[in-house]
This record gives sequence, structure tokens and C-alpha cells, in this order.
Amino acid sequence: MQPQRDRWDSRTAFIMAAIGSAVGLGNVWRFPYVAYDSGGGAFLIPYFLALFTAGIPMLILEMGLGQRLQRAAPGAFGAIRRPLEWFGWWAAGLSACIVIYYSTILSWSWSYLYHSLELAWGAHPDAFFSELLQRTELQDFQQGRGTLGLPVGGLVIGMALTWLTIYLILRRGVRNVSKVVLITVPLPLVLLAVLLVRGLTLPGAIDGIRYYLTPDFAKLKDPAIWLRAYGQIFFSLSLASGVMIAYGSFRARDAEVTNSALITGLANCGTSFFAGFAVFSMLGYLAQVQGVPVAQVTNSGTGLAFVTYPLAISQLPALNALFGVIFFITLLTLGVDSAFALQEAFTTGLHDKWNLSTERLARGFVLIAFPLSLIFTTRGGYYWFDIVDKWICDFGLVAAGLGQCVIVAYLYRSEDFRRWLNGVSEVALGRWWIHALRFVTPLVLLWILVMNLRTELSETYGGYPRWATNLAGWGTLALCAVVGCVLWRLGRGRRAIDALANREE
Amino acid sequence: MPLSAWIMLAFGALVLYGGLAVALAIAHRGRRRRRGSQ
Repeated sequence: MQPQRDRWDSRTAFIMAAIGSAVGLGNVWRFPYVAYDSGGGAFLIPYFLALFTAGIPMLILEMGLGQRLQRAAPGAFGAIRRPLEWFGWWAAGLSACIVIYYSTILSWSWSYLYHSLELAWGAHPDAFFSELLQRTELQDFQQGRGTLGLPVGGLVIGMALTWLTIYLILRRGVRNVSKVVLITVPLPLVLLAVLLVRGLTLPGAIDGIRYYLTPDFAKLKDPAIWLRAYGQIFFSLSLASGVMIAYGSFRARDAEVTNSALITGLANCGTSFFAGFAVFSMLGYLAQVQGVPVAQVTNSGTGLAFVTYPLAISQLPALNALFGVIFFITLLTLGVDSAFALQEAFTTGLHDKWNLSTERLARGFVLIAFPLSLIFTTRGGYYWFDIVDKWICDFGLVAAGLGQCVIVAYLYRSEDFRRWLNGVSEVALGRWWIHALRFVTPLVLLWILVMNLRTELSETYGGYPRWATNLAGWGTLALCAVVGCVLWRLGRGRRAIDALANREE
Repeated sequence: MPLSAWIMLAFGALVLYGGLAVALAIAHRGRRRRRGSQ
């Protein structure tokens, strides 16, 4: 007999955990820049369209599928068609890879948190960032020199702290997560509010906000902007990696789905929108201090979080160290709940199939993942991180999302699924939801995939050598496929999945 | 800040935070209804 499945303490805990998983570092360092660069306030139009036609329908699909089948992605897809269990493992494998490289950003954040006490980056955060990582020069990396090397001590400590935190949170399962998210989800919002108030009271802040919001409707004629809006929604909601399926599986089968997905999606995008004010008010101030236009200090990705924003902090008139600490605690709390959610997506699949204890899974995963993640703390680690991130996001997750849509919309009884969702939910779903899953989302994802492939074939990403992108990019995706195949074929737990499939029939 | 930026600010806030408030109100009503039926 199957033991009782772990459950969330309450619906609030589930929604908080889902928001924590969706709201990550990308909300702070990617959305504001993408919005500014894609037409400012006008970007909100394609962004909201993407949220309601792809983001929320996919969230409903994932949360609903996990809850209805009471299984993480491998078991859930295996219940739809037995061979599709492999696809579920592949998606879960992607989430395992993401948490392994994502921990790198958290290790940088730990280091920066320590160094922010004395504002060690001073007036040259760019040089400090390279020095902290002891990063190999790109030209050397291109020629095959300094591609690995020994892990950098400071980053290893940050990495160890990250994995220890993840282990301590996950070792007692979702009941423990239910309590942790009540702190890790609201805390970064409060800290962002503190940074926003500080930012808005600085001279030049309004110039930054103007840059962020002033609409340029002409940009909406460019199809690439619409593509970007769908991409931003898709990545920021933690879709396709199996996280929401695993989280949904820990709810009672008759729990509410649709409105919970709506709350999660809106809270995630609301955080991005809000973070934009905290970021751009500070950038407006930095631009005024340096006497340059806001466009010249604006940056995206790691550049914004670890170079531009720290520079703005060190230029503050007072309490610089305090705001440095606040900013890096914000990054850590934003990142940690996304990290343990990703790990949970993979380990719940293992738990479902082999009924292993939560504590053993958490310990085993950390013991394997921690040494692997040390690759990203070596001198060439930054470049490996960049390549793996690019391939998993641009190819892996897009393909997984596309597969997920096609499987549920065409191979699963989607109309029956919609009726079931309406039976348990507070908000009724119309047939538009099925159309969104059958046509809008797969077409957009296919478009994104083709465009990404075309770009990759025409030019090498980031100037990296082909052998490096083949090894770390395509190699990681292939490794996930092989590991997925092995886990699928390891048959001990197949009876459970077969039984589940029979029950569904 | 130009008027168009203010309009987009209001639009964004209305959709995101207004939508969130409505969804939370529906959840609250649902919880009360479930409690009432127990």
C-alpha cells in the first residue's frame, strides 16, 4: 500500500511556495531591462497578452496535472502514455541541471553579502566581479586555456552555504517548505520596498522611472518584441521544468486550482513590475551622479545585479553598507526558494517511483549536486555557467514546454481535464483555455525554438568556441535525455505508474 | 514624467494589482463558502 502523500500545510503555503518558485532573480535583473528595451510602458501590452494567453494557461495545466494525477512530471506524463514517462524525466532532469548552475548565482550573492559590509567593490565593481570569480579572460577561454582550474575558495564557501540551506529546507519535505516560504517569499518584497523608498528619495530617480515607463508604441510593430514578451512570461513563471507539477501533486485531489494559478501568475508579474521601480530609481540616481544618460548605466543579467547595482549602492550618500546587505539578502531570498523548488521537481519524481524517503533524497541530491556545481566556481566557470544557462533556457525549456502543451492538449483528454478543473476551482475556465494550449502557446514556443536555433546556427553564442557550446550546451541536453531514459527504464517502480495509468483509464 | 508614462503606470498597476486583488477576494469568498458548508 502506498504511504500517505506529503501535503502542504494550507492553500496559502502552496500559493506562497508557487510564488516563491516563480519569483526569482530574473524578476529583479531581467524584467526591468527587457521592459525598458522593448518599448517601456508599451511593453506591458504584449506582456499582459502573453501572461493571459500562455503563462496562466500553462500554470493551470501544470498545477492541475500534478494535483489530478498526484504525481510529479515523470509519473504524470507516464500516466498519460507510458513511454512519455521519459519526457517527464527529461523535464525534471532539466530542473536538476538548472538548480546545479543556479546555485552559482547564490554563491556569488553570499560572497557579495560578505563583501558588502565593507563595500569591497569600491568604484570599480566590474574589476571586483572578475577578481572575485578569478575569471579567465575570454580570449584565453576561446583558445582552450584556463577553461577549468581549481575552484575559487570564496565561491566554494558560498556554494557550500547554498547547498546546506537547500538541504536543511528540503530534508523534512513540503511541510518544512510550507513554513520556510512564509518568510522567504514576503521578505524580499519588503526589502525591495525598502530599496524602492531609498531609490525614490534620491535625486535623478524620476529620470530612471521615466526611462522605464515612457511608452514607445512604434516598437510594438516589431514581432521580436512580442516574442520577447512570451519568452519573459514563460521563463519567469518557472514553467516546463516540472516544478509546478510537483508542487501541485502535494495538494489534495479536490483542492482549488485555477484561481491559485491566477494569483501565482499575477503576483509574479506584479513583483517584476514593482522591482522595476526599485532598479530604475537607483539607476536614475547613478546616471545623475556620473553625469551620463540613464541608457548608459542600464544593464541586464549578471551585469545589473553584480556590477551596476553595487556601483549605485557605493555612490549612495549614506548607509551604503546597509543597503548593500539589504540588496544581497533580497537576491538570496529570491533565489533560494526557486532553487529548492527546482530540486523538488526532480526528487519528487524519484520519490514517486521508488518511494525513497524525503530526507535521503534531499541528502543524496545535495551530495551529488554540490561537487558538480563546483565546476562553475572554477576560473572558467563563469563561461560554462553562461553556456549551460543559455542552452537550457533557450532550447531545453522551450522544447519541454512545447512537448508539454502538445501532450496535454492532444494526447490527454483535455476537455475532460477542463471540466475536472472547473469542478474543483473557484473560477470557471472557458474553452479558450484549450485553444490557448492547442494553438497559441505551442505556436509561440515553436517560433521561439526555431528563431533560437536559427541564431545559434548562424553565429556562435557569446564568441565561445564550438567545442565548448557542443560540450556544455548540447551535451547537457543530451545527458538529461540519457539520464531520463535510464530512469524510465529502471523498472522497479513501473508497476506504480502502470497502476496510476489504469486508474486514470 | 510624460502623461503617457503615467497612463502606462496606471494600466500596469490596474491589471496586475487590481487583478490580484480580485483573485484574492474570490479566494477569500471561496474559503468562507467552504467553511459555511462544513
